[in-house]
This record gives sequence, structure tokens and C-alpha cells, in this order.
Amino acid sequence: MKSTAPSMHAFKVEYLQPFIDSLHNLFVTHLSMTLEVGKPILNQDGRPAFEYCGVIGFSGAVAGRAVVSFPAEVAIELVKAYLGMDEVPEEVITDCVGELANVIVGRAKSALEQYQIAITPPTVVFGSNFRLSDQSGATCISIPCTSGIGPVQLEVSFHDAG
Amino acid sequence: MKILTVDDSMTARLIVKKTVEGDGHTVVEAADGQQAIDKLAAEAGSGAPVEAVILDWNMPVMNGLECLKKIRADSAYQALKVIMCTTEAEKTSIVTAIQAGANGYVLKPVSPDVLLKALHKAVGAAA
Repeated sequence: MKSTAPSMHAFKVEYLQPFIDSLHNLFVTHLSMTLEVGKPILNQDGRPAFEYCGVIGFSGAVAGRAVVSFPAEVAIELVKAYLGMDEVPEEVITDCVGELANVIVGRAKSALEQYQIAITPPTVVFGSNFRLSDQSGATCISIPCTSGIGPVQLEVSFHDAG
Repeated sequence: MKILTVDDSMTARLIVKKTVEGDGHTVVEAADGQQAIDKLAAEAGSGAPVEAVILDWNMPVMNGLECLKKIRADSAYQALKVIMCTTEAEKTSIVTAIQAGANGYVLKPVSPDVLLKALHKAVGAAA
């Protein structure tokens, strides 16, 4: 019988575009905010840029972790805009950062359909003192962005799934 | 109309609740597919059954597709309308959900207009 298991893929730059498109869709199309997407750079120390981090793991023929990180003041303003509320309690901000990561990575996953990627439920981490990947040899890419409400950084780490 | 929003994200449930309550409906909530099945039975037992479900796909315990299949396997819920609200944008996922009995499919992030249009279409009301 022919195996249906996905074959593994080495990192390719085109894996990043769906994540950028998804971030753009959220900010520009859905929230009517501006978003300038910077040049992707290799993240040498493997740590996120800002303290509010929505973390999603993904696995399949392409495996790794995506982190959307915001400074606290940007996270709060973004959550207010996303929910259409003037005030939001702390627990809602935390949950919403996870949901925003879920929306960004989930939509990107769909664009990478051919790689049969599955994603984990989001985790929200405070502080940048964690590594984007616990896999040795992982490729960590940072995509710095500037939105109408402040900086946002998308970090994507890929590793061999095999 | 009573609507059940099913999502493991409190944020996602809050968005649905705010949107459909603003359209004049009442909302009950569940955080996963199993809770949704239990909630549907409880609300039916109360005499004011749920008429539409807005259902996420990726959830712990029981995912949205499994929940949808359980709903469609129960003759008590034949008239129940189910709208998937998910980040799963692959054509195969949409086809799978429709074949399993979904009456509508909207993608996150969802705007109030899009969600209400899908809801009105599913229940046969004017948008």
C-alpha cells in the first residue's frame, strides 16, 4: 500500500508569505489599520521581540512554531479594536492575544495546504525570555512590522519534522 | 432566536455574543464540542431549544466537525442550523463541513456583517 504520510521539507522562504498575508489580512482588511511589513531577518538569539506573545505550534511536512509578539500597550489597543470595546479586562486581553495568534497562524496554515500542517491550540506567554524553538538546528525568522497602533513582530521557526 | 456559540476562545465567543445579541437574539455558550452537545440537550429540556449553532472547528475534547456529525446523527436536531466559524480556509475543509451538514461557513477573523449574513441565510431570514 502506498504511504500517505507527508514527506518532510527543508525550510523555504515561500513558507513565510502566508504568515505575512494573514497578518496583513487581520490588520488592513479586517481592522482597517495600516501595516508596514519589514524585511524578514534571521533571528540569531531565537527570542521574541516583545512581551505579549501568542504562540502556536505547527506540525506536518513543515513543522515549527509561530509567535506573534506585541508590546503591552499595542496588545491592549489591538484587543480593543478587535473586540470593538473601549475597555477590556486583563483576562480578555490574554485570551484575545491567543485568539489573534490562532487567526493569523490558522489562516496561514490553510495557504500551506499542500504541506498538511496541523496547529496546536494557542498559548499566551508574557515576557520575551523564552526561545522560539527548542529544536537544535531550527531556522528562526523575524518579520518586524509597524502597524497604525505600534510595532508588531511575527516570529516563525521551522525545523525538520522528521 | 436562541443561538449557541461554541469556541474554546472566550474572545471568539464574546465577538459572536456581541454580534448576535445586537441582532436581537439570545446567546448561550460552550467551550468545546462535548459541552455543546450537553448544552443543546439541556436547552431542549428547558423548553426553549437552541435554533442555531455557531461552531468553531479546532477545539479540545471534541472538535467542531465531530460535534457537527453528532448533531446531524441525532434526529432531534434536524431543524438546527449550524454555521462553522473557523480559520480552516482550505477548500477540502469547507467541502467536508458542508457534506457533514453545515448550513454555513465563515472564516475568522469574521466581521459582524459577514456573520449575520451567514446566520440570516442559514435560518432563511432576510439579510
